[in-house]
Amino acid sequence: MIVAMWIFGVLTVLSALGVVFAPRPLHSALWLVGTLFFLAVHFALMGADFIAALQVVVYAGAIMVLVVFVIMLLGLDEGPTQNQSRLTLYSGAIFCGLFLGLLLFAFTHQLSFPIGSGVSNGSVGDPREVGRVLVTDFLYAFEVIALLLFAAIIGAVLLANDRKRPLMPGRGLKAVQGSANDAASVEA
Amino acid sequence: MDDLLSVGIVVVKAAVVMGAVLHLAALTTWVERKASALIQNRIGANRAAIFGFDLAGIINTLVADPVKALTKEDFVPKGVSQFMHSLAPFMGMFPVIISFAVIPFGPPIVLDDRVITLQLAELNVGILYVLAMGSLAVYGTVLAGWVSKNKFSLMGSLRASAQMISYEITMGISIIGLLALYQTLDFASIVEQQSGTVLGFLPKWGIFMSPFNWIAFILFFVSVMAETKRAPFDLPESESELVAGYMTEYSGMKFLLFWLGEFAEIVVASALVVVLFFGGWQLPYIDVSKFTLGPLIGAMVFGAKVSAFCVLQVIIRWSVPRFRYDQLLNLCWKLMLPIALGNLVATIAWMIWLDS
Amino acid sequence: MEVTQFYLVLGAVLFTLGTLGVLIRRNTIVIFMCIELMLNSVNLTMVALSRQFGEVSGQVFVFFVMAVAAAEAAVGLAIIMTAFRNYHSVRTTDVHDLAG
Repeated sequence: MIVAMWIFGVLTVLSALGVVFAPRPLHSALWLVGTLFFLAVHFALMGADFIAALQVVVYAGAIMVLVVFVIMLLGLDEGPTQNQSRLTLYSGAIFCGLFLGLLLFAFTHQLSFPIGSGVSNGSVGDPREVGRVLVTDFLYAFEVIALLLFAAIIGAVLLANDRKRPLMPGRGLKAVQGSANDAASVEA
Repeated sequence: MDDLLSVGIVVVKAAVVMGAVLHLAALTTWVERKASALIQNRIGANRAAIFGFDLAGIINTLVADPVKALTKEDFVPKGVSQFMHSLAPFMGMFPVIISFAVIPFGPPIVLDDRVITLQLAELNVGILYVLAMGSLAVYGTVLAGWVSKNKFSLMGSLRASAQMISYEITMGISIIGLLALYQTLDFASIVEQQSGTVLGFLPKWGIFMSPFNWIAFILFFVSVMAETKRAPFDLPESESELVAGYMTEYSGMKFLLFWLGEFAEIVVASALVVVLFFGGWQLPYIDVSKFTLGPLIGAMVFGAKVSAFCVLQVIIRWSVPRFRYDQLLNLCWKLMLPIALGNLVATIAWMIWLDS
Repeated sequence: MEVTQFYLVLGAVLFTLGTLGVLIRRNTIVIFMCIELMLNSVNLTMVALSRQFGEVSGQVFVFFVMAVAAAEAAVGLAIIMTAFRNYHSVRTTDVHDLAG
């Protein structure tokens, strides 16, 4: 397990670097799919099979497909994009470096909980157990989440469904349709 | 020594499973060409032959076609990243092949002190694993459409992503009721529960376990057929509108990989339907696992059932015309999803009534 | 290195990378993806601690985070589409009508 942990840990960090620094949005999205997949592997390594499967189904299978869909529909993959100004870049990097240093210091020196005390007996990731806790101890939160998802569906439909103002031609699908219309009008 | 033997057994099992899936997929291409010819009153593939034997077209589809594909030019459009262009077919094929790892294809072999399960990976979340791999398969299609820099390809992959994300929802919800009946997500235990009979004469297969499961079967079967992107759901590659959809800019071996991936998807879909609804390797009225040759008989029964569903899918593909895109999405969101939710409620109500 | 400690450090690295992405990128879709990365690093931490303490509620929280992320993706992408409809761009430098 230790070997697999290190291998996939390095892979995860590499693909996360890809998400942040890939010049094109679609490449970023594909790197993120990789990161999410490797995180699912980490969950499985820790015995959380149910969460690992959900991670791939929900994140890689639904959310990221939606993101890729929007990138393709709007034609946002415009090639290398400029970054922020030099000032923002440097201050952001310094801030993140300090933040990371703080977290690493805390996790390697000042841990307040007893590490290695109560390592679980492996039944923690069992889907039956997760499901039982979900609809007993956390029933109220579960219902609220259902309501939240319902509200999100309605909100998304209301926001995106604007038939009066169609999307303007970009480099994506709309450009395809626009050029098809042009061709039709030339023939007419 | 013992460890080495265990590793060897796993390697042999993996080789057998992968070989079986790929061979079944290849044979399905032959069935497809011959069955389509039969349905359309033609003869079908009959030209290529070795020493005058064409073996009813098998030589043509399994030898001549791959040779033709291998010797074709591997065309990559101008200004397209060669790496990404080659990555797409693999990303489409890989999840499909590895999703077969959790499907049990026979009763366990018991030798003296060693039990060999005929299942590659005993995962306690098997069904979620298959659903997860199925949802990863869409990236191959999406990537192929995007890297081709072709309008038809882009249109095809946009259609594919919306279609697959929609039908995944119906697929998931349609089997929740069934999983509540089985009380597990593990395929091996699901198949074991399907021995014996219900009402005294029906085999106790998933489809007969509750009065509503045949609805779940129809919904699930339609959804997996939509996931394989074949007619009547072949909008992403509809040749009369989009040339070949997301595969337009692919030729030679990469095209063949897409094609083989599609047929491997048919095999996996059939195997899923058989395991969930038709008893897996169980034979009705006879307990196969009691015999000495039980594992062999079980594997053959499983193979026969899977082949039957592959042939059924081919027949449907050549009998039904293609949907329009709005019809396709309306069918999913306005018809199948409400029915699936109603079926779930009905199944749970039936279970509660049975308990009381 | 202890397993739990390894995953806490990994979570910290991923979270920082996500923060860096939000700070230095201009494309709203990429910013959105970096936020997903940050959410996931927190998920990793929670699963690691759930394993450490033998307590299943950490995994239930991960479940809730995933549901919230799904809702966020639906609404967030709809907002990005609306912004694109109005500004024909999704760069943060182009969408600045409310900037004082």
